[in-house]
Amino acid sequence: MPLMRFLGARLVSVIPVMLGVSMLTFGLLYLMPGDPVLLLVSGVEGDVASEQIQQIREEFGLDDPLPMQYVSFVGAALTGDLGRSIHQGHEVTGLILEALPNTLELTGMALLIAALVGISTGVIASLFHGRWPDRVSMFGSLLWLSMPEFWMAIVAIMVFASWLGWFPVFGAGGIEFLILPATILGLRSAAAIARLTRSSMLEVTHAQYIMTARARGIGEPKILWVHALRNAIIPIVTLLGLQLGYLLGSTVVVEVVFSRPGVGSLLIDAVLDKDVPVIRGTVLFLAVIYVLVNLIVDATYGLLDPRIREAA
Amino acid sequence: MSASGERTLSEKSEIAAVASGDAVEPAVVARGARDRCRDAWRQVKHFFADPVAFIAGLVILLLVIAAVLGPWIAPYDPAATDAAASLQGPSGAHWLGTDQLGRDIFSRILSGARLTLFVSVGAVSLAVLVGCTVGLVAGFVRGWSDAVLMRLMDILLAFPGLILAIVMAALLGPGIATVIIAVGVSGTPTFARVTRAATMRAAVEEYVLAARAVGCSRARLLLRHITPNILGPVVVLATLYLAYAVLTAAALSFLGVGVKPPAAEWGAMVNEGRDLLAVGWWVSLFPGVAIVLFVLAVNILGDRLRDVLDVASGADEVQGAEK
Amino acid sequence: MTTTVSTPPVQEGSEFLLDVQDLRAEFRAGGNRWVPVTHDVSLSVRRGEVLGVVGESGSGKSVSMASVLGLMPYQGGRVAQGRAIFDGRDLLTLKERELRQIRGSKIGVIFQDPMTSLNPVRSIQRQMVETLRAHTSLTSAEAKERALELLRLVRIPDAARRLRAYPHELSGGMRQRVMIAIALSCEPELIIADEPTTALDVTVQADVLALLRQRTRERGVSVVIISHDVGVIASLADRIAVMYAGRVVESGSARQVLGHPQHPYTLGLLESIPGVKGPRTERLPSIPGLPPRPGGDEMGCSFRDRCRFAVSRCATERPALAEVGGEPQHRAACHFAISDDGRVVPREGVVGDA
Repeated sequence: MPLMRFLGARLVSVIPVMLGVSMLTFGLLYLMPGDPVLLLVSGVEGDVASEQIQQIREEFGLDDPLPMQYVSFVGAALTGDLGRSIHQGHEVTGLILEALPNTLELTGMALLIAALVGISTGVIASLFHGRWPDRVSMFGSLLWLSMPEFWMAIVAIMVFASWLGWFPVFGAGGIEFLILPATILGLRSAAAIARLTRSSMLEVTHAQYIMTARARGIGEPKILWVHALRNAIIPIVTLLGLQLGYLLGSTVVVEVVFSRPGVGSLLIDAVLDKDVPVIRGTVLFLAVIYVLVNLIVDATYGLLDPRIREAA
Repeated sequence: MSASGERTLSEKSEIAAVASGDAVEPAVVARGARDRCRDAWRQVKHFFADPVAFIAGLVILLLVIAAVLGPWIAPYDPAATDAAASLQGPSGAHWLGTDQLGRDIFSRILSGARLTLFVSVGAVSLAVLVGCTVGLVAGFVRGWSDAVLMRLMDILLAFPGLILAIVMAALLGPGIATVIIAVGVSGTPTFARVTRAATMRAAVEEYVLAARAVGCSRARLLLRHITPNILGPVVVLATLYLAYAVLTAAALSFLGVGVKPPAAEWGAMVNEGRDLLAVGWWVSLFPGVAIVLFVLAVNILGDRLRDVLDVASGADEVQGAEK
Repeated sequence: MTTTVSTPPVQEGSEFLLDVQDLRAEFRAGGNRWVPVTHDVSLSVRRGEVLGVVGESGSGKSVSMASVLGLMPYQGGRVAQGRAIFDGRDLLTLKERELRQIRGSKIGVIFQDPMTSLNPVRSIQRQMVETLRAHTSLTSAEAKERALELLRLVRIPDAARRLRAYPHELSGGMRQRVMIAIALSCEPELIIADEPTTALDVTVQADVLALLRQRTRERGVSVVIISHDVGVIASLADRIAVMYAGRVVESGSARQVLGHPQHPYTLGLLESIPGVKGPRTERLPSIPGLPPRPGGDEMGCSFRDRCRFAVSRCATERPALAEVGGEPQHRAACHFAISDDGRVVPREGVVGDA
């Protein structure tokens, strides 16, 4: 099975990346300014008595050689143990799992909006190449890409929540809490996707096989949706994977503005509190998700393009 | 069915040019500085012939002027607080209103221009410097150094862009240098990848092979023959990345891990107005408009550059990776 | 009337299966400016006959066929004038829907580059079945069966496995056979083959040409074969049209055009291939210079700058495509006639149209 071989090769290439990612997150403890001991139990100096310090060093294994510490860090992480927060000693894994549904809901909805709006806008723009629907949507998408999402979120709250009162302003819960933040995140991704879809479609519709399909008497709708889009979608799928990285990053901003509890706001609160265990846990978690999603995207790529399977 | 009419036309003129010998001259070595100036001017004129690009260029120019002359042309001291003038709406006295401390928002936006320009250009320079070096070495030397360098870049790419920047900011503590480094580092892998790809494409071009064959030194090969080829994609990427850098830097400051108040950073200013939406919508709105104008202008110029330099394939990669 | 061995008796209605008259195709040159790339092109094919169109790239031969098929709008061009009567109907006046029923069904098309002519992400089977089902009432299963038959017909070994393959898994020659199979699939009356062998290895070219000839002859299918390669044309065509700079400069039976070329351009083409015409010298002669750019001046003969026989009259007066004395159906657009020993003599009764 060439497809399995292709996936196997991709899987192997992920291993060094994962190693690097785990090393970096492990190293955060030592790269952060301040004594690791203090960072692990509290952000504040003088909070811990000096006799306690030795006890803590032993408890966290800080006297072990670094490679050993790293191994036990990875070992613990693999069993789902990401340490404890410096506040009330909550388990980091528990905090992440608690925040995760909100974040998944937000990014999932945003990705859906991005794909639907982005691809259809791009296709329409390519069909009207050079005419006003094309110009309007391309300028619109560039404008959209030029707006910082935190500002868009604030403007949206101002207009739709405060003035018009259509949506609740802050928090998470039902769909009414989801619409504004997901739309803001999603439309920005949609702008990037629309631009790529358009250029990809334009490239594909000039391909010889499209002309050949016409010469075979195939109808235009089928040429557009089956022959052209099926080829044009291949780079778009890659972009969708990359967009997920953007979405995961931007949830931080959007969750902050809309006061939505989530992995992003968990991370930024931890950064502001210098809560190293939580920073390490959330960053590792987000990076692993991102890498895995892109692995899945690569697999889709192989399914979509028979030539890729061979190349692996 | 090889011939669309236009292609045939251009093929013909290409052939004609080769035949008449003017395309054979490889470099501009023999030509005077004056000719080169005139050429450059013609290219600039061609670039701004597009009205949208012209307006975008004008916006950037105004911004640079604001950054340089800010303190002299601002109607108020951007840091001066005035309790009596707290939260005044836009008026003749305060064009864009005042914030909670009574500071003039227009003056603060002007002074923020310098900060924004400095931070974003600094971050892009860092990313170009490190990323292009890595990409050139990886793409030219290949082998082990390529594998190691590009794995390192892959590791950086494994973190969603803004997350990486936030972590860097957490490591370094708030400040201008922090933002430059955080945004610069998170852009490095993209530059490395694009440069590597362009280097590898150039390295197998006939004329590079020919230069190799006549015994060009590696350094000369790299500098004289390969570097000129990667300039186009890198310039386009750098422009588009500048837009991304402005947005990310502003996001970091907005989140409180970037440039700290009271510096008039545009993102931080939007944040200051966040709790004042009901009483002073202008506090958040106008700094955001400044960001949008700048980023849009940069994006337009980047798009135009891409069209003019015709590096479509590389830049698509960019738009995907930057977001 | 050049009858060849395989030409079936002329059927009811018009003498020609495809009759193109005065075709003028244009490409957009930016804004509302259109540049003509063919001028008054007239070509015709009888039933069961093979017409070879020869000329260098950019001479308008592919554009003429794209015009006939109604594909010009998709390439940024248009047909400004002319008629193309196929089976009693003018293709140039048909609606896109009606044209679509003819393309791929009554007219099969084979393009130059088999590497790019097939959609890379769809299997051979899907592309064949899709064509069959667009034009016939076959069920999916029947269409698959038919596709398999067709692949065997074009002598593709291990057809059942190849049917499920993707284009990149086949060699260039195999892919061109697939294109021939697709072109034949709906029992066409005409096949248009645009440089069908140009992109193939020389060793494969002969096979593919032989296949094309055999499968079309045995079905009595008419063929228009377009090539810049006189050898390809000579091996297949019953009649030949020579195109230069958007015009037909000579036409006639293969015997007439190859044996007694009457246009200096045709003569040059023939001299540039070894062993067809002209003296044997150490070095093969070539035609000096380049063809004029489309949209250039409208006066005079477009070949004059490269013509060894050109006189001042050639710059002011365009020679009309007119019958060569004594040879019915043999036409050439030149002020001179060329004798068998390669000398030129002024022609009688040829009036320029410039």
